Amino acid sequence: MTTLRLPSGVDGTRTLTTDDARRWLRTRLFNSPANTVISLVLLAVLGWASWRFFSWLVLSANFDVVRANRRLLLVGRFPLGEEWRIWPVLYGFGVAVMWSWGAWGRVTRNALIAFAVFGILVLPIMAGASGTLQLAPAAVLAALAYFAARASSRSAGGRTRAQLVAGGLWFLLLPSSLVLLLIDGGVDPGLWGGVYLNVIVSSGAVIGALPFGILLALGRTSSFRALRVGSTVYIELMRGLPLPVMLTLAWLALRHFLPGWGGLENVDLVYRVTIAFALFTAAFIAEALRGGLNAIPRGQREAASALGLSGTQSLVLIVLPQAVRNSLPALAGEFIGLFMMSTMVAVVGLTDMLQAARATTEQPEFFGRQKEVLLFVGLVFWMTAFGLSRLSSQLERALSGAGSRRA
Amino acid sequence: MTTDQPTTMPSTIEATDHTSIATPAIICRDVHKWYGRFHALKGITVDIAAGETVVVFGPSGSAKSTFLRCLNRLETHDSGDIIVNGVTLDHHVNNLAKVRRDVGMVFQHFHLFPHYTVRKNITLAPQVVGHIPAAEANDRAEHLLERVGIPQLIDMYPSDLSGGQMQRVAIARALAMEPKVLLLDEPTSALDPESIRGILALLEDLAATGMTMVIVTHEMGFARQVADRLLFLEEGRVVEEGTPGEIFEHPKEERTRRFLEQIL
Repeated sequence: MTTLRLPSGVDGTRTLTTDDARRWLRTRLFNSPANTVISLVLLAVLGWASWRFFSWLVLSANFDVVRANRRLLLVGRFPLGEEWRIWPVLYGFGVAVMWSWGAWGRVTRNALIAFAVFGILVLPIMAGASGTLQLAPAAVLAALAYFAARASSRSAGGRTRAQLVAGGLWFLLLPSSLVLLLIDGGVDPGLWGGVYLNVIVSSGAVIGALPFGILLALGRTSSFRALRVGSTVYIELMRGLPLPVMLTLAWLALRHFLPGWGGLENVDLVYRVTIAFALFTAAFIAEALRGGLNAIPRGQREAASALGLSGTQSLVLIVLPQAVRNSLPALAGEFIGLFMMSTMVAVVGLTDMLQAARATTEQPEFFGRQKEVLLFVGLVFWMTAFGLSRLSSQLERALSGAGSRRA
Repeated sequence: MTTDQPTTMPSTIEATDHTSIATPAIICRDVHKWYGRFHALKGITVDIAAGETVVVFGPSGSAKSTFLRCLNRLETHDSGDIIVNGVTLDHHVNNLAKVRRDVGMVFQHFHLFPHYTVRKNITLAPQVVGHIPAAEANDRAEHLLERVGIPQLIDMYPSDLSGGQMQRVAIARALAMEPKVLLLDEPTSALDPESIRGILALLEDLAATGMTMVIVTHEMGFARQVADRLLFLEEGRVVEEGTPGEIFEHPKEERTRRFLEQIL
């Protein structure tokens, strides 16, 4: 008998049997003639599609196309010999991720399994070139960072310090990766590409959008009418504009409205697109935060006032931390959505990972191999999104404080 | 207006002679407040001396809490004067910051900051408002938690605590600013009977140390033991005030007598 353990009710778990499964099928899928027909048709379509997919995957899929084009997929037309501008960022990213992991939580068995699956799925495709030599030390450094963070966060004070270090690492990551792209002659932003472009654009947009979004949310909940109206108008305007329109505006029209200080009107397309993403995302962040702000009981502000905290102190120390925590799931959703939507840079002719994937299908030697490439691209995006979503739920638990330190 | 004018009333409103023990910590002169068209406070005149423990009681809707919240300007009054520790409560922000530093408040529902530990809840205001060093704030927090009887909970989060423990932390948090006056808005109404006893004992100790306290409560047994004076509020007016002996044994007003009969 097949058994499956599911959490249920107070007693923790209960055993699910095949009888339960049969009852579920009978009552949900086959409870009337019409439903039976629909269920059968759907099952047939689903079965056919998955049969085709898995037989393709096992029998005829050939990921040579990904291996041959991995450089294009990862960094686009980034000039040969300039990779040193990117590897340190990967190192830094690995260290930042694993240090934070160590400072806030623990790598569980499930996470280890996920790492293993990731390795089995992706590494064979990526391995075998100069990059392999770089990946190994990156992995070692990241692991060291994890254990160092674990070791230093044994005491409560050390934990706080480790978390501050983690914040510092993340804070430095994007500026330093930009510096690396620009120093020593730099690389023309028009040549930035692949998944690296997706990462640069979306993280740049997050960093711009978060403070702006917070200001907008505060504006919209403010008691000062002009601020409230202004923020509301901005938010509703942005939410009503399709992103491709925004991007096209940034591409073709933005330069006409920017002042001419220090060549600001000639700022590169990648930056303009990032700004457009930030302006767009800020409106959604503001709406996510507004919910979190409204959920804070009035008593919190009153308690802060009664203790003599000023309005600003109460906002920064009492209200905002709770609002961000309350809206963390929604915020994480916005950030994940932003990363997904960064594929829209195709609208303005930039070569992100998806466009790189499309370019490979025009190579004669890999004709008809777009399925493999798209599967790979989808996998990379899915893993990133899944990782971010796990991260946000971890962070939520860490920030709630509850239960974790019960004496 | 049925309020007796206390004999200690100063001749001028600006009187700030702190050396005299009879100097009122709080002076209210004909305080009115409206919520839209609803007349909540209808001319409250009362003096509260430094070191005095005053219990405010009355039926629900009698604006007890509103009155209390006017004393640290969580609510603004519309006419009349409120002078706390010699500072007139009006639209000058400087006044407000000074008053709130000297007036602590304890709420019915505690309002601890859920994202901070007990320690941080207590040390936050002394550090950012009082500008005292972290180490000193920390010593103060440990000392205060000792005093309210829960030193072992210092690194817990509010969500890990029971209601009674939360209210103890809230009292410690208010005391950490070393206030001259403590306002307590139904401090035991959200608690179970055992916690109520604990909190009331704590407040009794506090009253004995000479802290000026204004307490809105329905705990009449406690009021009888601890209060120097009781104010009976109804529909935004002070119907009667007096010592516990006067109020409980010989209430002057029919309304006071009936209310006490109901709740005792």
